[in-house]
Amino acid sequence: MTPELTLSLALILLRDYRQSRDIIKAAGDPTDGTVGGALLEDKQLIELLRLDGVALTSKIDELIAKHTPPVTP
Amino acid sequence: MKRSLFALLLLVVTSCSSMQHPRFPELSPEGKVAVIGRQFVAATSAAVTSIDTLITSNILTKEQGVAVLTRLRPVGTEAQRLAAVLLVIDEARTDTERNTGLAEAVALIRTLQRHVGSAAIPVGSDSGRERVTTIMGALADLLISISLVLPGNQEALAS
Repeated sequence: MTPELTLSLALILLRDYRQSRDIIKAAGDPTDGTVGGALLEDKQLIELLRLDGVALTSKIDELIAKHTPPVTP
Repeated sequence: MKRSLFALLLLVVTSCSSMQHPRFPELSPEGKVAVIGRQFVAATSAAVTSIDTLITSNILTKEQGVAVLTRLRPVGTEAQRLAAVLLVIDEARTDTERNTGLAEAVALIRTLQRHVGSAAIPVGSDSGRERVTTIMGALADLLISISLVLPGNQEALAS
């Protein structure tokens, strides 16, 4: 690996780590159920989890479609 | 002078104690599992974004990237299954029903982790394989460590 590639990989991983940390913080606190500063009930948290799952599946499907080359007849 | 100082100190202490945040009630186990599941899905979503970046930057080929994304796809569907199980637990009438459901929920979280852990893919050349294994290994380690090391997660899974 060239130094430039190593550096860009390190930067990508560092950025991802920071993003993950922030996103996870926003996903809630398991000790008190606060999300974004608001206290949520169990049912609300469960519904958010379901919606997160739906959103992740859509996001992955979109990216797979974006990076899959079109089939030529 | 001493009395004034004492009064001032008392005022400061009283003000500080009244500014403390109210103590929130503890979440139920299913609520805790829902939050942990959300954290995991969020971390996976961040990883998916970075895989897109890696493909765009030509560090991963499209084929390699799509293969990794395909392996991560079940995380979304497992999260929806987990939500369904948690809803059943929330509405359970007996302790046995609740405990059975919770055990299933924790097992589903373990399945989520396995999906992420298995996302490392073999590629053609040794250097390419090493590169992808390093990236995905780091991402998987990152996701799993964030999920497990976060304060309260171990206790939440154990309770």
